[in-house]
Amino acid sequence: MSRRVTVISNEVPRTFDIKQSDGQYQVAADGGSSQCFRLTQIEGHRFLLVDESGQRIVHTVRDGQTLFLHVDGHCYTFALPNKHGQRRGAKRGGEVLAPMPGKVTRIYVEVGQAVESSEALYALEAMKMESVVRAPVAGRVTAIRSAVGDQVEGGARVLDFEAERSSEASG
Amino acid sequence: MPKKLLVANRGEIAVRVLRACAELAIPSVAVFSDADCSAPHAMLADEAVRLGEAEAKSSYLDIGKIIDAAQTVGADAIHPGYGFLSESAQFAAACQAAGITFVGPSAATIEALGDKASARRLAVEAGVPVVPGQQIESDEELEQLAKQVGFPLLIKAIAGGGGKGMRVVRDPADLQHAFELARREAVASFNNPAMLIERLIERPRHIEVQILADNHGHCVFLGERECSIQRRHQKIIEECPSPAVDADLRQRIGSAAVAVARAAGYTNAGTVEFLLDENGDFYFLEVNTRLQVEHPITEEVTGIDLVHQQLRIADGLPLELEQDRIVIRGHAIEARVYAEDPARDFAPSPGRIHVLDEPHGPGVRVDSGVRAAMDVPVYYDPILSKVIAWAPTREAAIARLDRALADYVLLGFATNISLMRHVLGHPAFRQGQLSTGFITEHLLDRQTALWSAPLPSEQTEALAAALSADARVSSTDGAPQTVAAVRQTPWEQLANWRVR
Repeated sequence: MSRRVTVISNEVPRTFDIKQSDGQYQVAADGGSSQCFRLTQIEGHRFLLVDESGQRIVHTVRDGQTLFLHVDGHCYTFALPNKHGQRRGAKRGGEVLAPMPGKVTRIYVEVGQAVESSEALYALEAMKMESVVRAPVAGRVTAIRSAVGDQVEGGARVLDFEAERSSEASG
Repeated sequence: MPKKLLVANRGEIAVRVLRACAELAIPSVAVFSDADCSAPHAMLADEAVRLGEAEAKSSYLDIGKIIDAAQTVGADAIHPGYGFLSESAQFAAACQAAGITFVGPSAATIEALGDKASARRLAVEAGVPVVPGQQIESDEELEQLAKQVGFPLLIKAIAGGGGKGMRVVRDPADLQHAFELARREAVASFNNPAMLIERLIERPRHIEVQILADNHGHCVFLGERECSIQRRHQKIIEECPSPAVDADLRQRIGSAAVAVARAAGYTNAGTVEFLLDENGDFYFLEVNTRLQVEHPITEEVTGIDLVHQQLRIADGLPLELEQDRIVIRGHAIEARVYAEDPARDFAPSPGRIHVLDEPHGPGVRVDSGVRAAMDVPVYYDPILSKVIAWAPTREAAIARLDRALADYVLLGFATNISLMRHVLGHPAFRQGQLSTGFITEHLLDRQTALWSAPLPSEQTEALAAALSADARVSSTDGAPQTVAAVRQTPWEQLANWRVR
């Protein structure tokens, strides 16, 4: 019995057919090659990965729709599609989400203001560094939901933004 | 030795100093903000005192609260760590006024060295070379000054920053034009037309010298550290010894550092920073009047514990170190692990650490201020820990550090670990061809998206797909256990009820 699974790797969805039995995996890339490996749980986040090239320890944990994986000396982050096939926090045309948690230190725009693509919208400060959040496309600011001095979570909607009609937002 | 030491800091440096206290059997006190009530440093000390809200100005930067905390618990000495109040003359003076030993130089020394112009004057008086240059008082003297300074040179606004009001001049024929452009920018950006002219040091290396000075006029240097690998003017990889410094240069630059320290009447541990140019000439930059982030590499190659020495000196004990018996043995390299995303222009990436497995093994030291199931706060510097590798040779130390970084498992947010492995593997780094522009020169034109990790192979993606469908993989639902709740209850007050 095989199962189709998609992971999003650097913004690119990758789909695999997975056959699994008792920790023994056969994973086939969509229209591509197939590989076999065994995953044994050592404890908690730690697994032993055994394949034809040998064995190694991998660490993994899942946080909502994000899968963290440490293997071969590097840490990788994969997004997992949710039930609707859409990634959590994916940017829709009308949203400019805070890229990180932080304090709103400046708001450059006003409600109703038209902005060019990449024009500065607001600034966030975290860990002693200020980053400017810019308009992804040309559009208009329709609401401002935070004030200067507010502490916001990563992914928070600091302001509402409406992309210009002709832009990709309609797609 | 102090009867009780308060560590006025957080994170890995607080942990490092608290460990020294335990080794020296000195009762220790941590201070913490509301963001840090269950941070490792706050739990490691014998006692912990809440300072206030998370913002640094309400906690780790609040001189009054820290002095109050020390007096409440009866601490007779304060170690300031680095950052925060460590280079505040006002804080050093407040400690003194309260009868508390400040582990560091005197307030007057901090003040004199904290001002760049006065530090430069001190160096010049001590006969130590500084980057040739001066203020341009009038348009007429421009050419004369340019000849004195020599080409290539730099024209820059006194009020400058971020490259504005700054011009590099290589050809004397461009001098006048460049000067006018730079000054126009200076007026537009800073409303200040005052300009400096300075020799341009091309491809400089950042070389600094660790010094120790006691209260009895004895001062020694403990070799140099090369800290050329930087991003945004912040060091990320440091090593000792420097591949560019031989025994003769070490002696000269070390003696220069001691001369500056003596001229400033310096006491305790300090670092004298220099630029080293491609001809092997060095120029004084500034003095850091505190323990440096990268102090462990000096400890590893000299076998001298700098924090122990700091506490001895602060207690008025004489240094028991003779210059000619301080030997550099082997090679040490440090990598600073930051909560930041190199793929997004080094944007901070605070968040929860879901999984943490720090490296171990011979010659590997990890100075860490974090733990698993901890939320790394957004309020402070993004440094999480430092991995230090020691080995008999530079080559072996690089290999050991790379192995340790490969073993460093931190799951939860982006870090700079893979970027540092990339630097360690770069041929120019292996050959010791370093300069402060290394990252920009060798890595910035690459696809920056690769920096937080190499692109995953299809095998890695297949593994991720398998794990995403594997029921054994743990999820991070639910808040981590913290002592935050405990800190809010009267039980926390128990410390104050104790019979003394």
